[in-house]
Amino acid sequence: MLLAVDIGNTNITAGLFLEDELITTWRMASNRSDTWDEYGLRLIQLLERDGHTAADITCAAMASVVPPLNPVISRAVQQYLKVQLRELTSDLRSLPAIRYDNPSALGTDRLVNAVAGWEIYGRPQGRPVIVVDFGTATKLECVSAEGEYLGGVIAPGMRTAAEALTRRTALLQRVEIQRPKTVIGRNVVASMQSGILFGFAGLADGLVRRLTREIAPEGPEPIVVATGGLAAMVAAESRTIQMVDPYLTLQGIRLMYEMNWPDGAGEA
Amino acid sequence: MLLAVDVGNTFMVAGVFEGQELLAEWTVTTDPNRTLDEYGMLFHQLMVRAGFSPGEVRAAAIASSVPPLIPTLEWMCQKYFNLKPLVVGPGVRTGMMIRYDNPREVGADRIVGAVAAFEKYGGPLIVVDFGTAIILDAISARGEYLGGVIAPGIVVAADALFQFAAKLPRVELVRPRSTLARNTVHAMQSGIIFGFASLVDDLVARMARELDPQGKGCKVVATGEQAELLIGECESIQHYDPFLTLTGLRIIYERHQAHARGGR
Repeated sequence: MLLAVDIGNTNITAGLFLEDELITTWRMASNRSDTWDEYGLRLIQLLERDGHTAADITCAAMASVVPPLNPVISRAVQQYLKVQLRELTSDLRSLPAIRYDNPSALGTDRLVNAVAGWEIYGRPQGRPVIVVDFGTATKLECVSAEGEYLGGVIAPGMRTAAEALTRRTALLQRVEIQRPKTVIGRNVVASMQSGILFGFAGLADGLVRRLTREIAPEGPEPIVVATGGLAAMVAAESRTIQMVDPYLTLQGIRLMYEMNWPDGAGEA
Repeated sequence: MLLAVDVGNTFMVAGVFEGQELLAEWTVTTDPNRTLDEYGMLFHQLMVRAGFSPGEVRAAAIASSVPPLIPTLEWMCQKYFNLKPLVVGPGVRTGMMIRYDNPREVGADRIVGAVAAFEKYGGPLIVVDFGTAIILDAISARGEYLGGVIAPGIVVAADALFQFAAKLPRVELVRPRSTLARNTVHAMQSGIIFGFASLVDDLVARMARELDPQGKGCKVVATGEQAELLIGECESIQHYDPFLTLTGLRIIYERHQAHARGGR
């Protein structure tokens, strides 16, 4: 089985793949001060709790946007699961072409989303794809029908922006992100919920429409796939998102691992 | 001369009116730790440099989103201008019916801006205030305040993005050439400028469907210190009025005076 690890600024998401099927996922806080022993223990306990053992893991790959955590997680996986954790970088084999000023500067989280969006949605249908990831940042990636990475957009994340607003203002309070009954709110909490949920649905829709005009002015229309923890909630309010795939990033890690280590399942 | 002070979470905007005319305005930092003497000297000096004598100030009106600064500014008015200011808040007649669960919960600045916008443009109306937060307020055709939407401000959201995302650089908030970006700086400028323009346009459209379901025509007015970053990109905004809150303070002050003279 492949262990796929997505190290983000807020959370570490890990998933187990049996062939191309994602059979279980876990989420941990991205805590920069935790040690490999702490992460290793967490991983093995989660694994065992779901009825697996370290011996079931034959290979492991990660995409990270938090460089200081890379050696820590690598050591945890090596010591506790006894496999080498392959770090994915934008220099490895991925899409047929990367149209980015400096391809090495493209974040691996963005690249694996683009890979998964194209391989799973764009390529089978022969259409371009736009992936929208609602995470610590809201990231959009565009891939042509032929699999060229065309570029993307990085906007603030929903939760990140909401919490920053709470910290910076005197009267506003922390709110849970959920759908209010009406757009026009009659109390501060409902007004903020409206601004975050409907506001970010509008932000994503506006960016998708602008990107569509730039990448596919004459069609075929791109497939728009959303991922990330809040994707389903935003997709329900959005007019452009067609699919929700909460673990697209993990799928991208698996796909990129398979492209680069085709015999990986046999790795000891 | 009337001194009007709008205390926002990040900036404080002050203006002096002679009758209906705004003669001058200044922007200073909002800092709850500053004392009444510091703010007193600041306003005093700014006025003198602009050619006004602080003795000409006969009245003052204040709206504050930062409650701890209210007493500071009240004492400042007493000591440096020798007057008791009108502080817009619960209990002060604004002439606007507030349809809010708890009317005391609505920021005074929101009501003040709504009063000015309704007086100038009529309703139904949406006021978009681009500040630390982006606040959109709905005012009915009859001039009732109906509530609104609060979204993160552009600068606050951008700062959070730079701070939280370990690998992202700080970027200047300018409009990039295209939405599609092939480097990180451009990608963030696109996400912030085009993303937030879309956020505002979409919220305005959703609010308009609730406020004006028959689509008879809803006015949209923008104000706030960060409006200029975005209004060029927003398709929904019809008017830009940077001094809406100061104008609202003047109107509320006049109503208050008329009422005081007329009544009791």
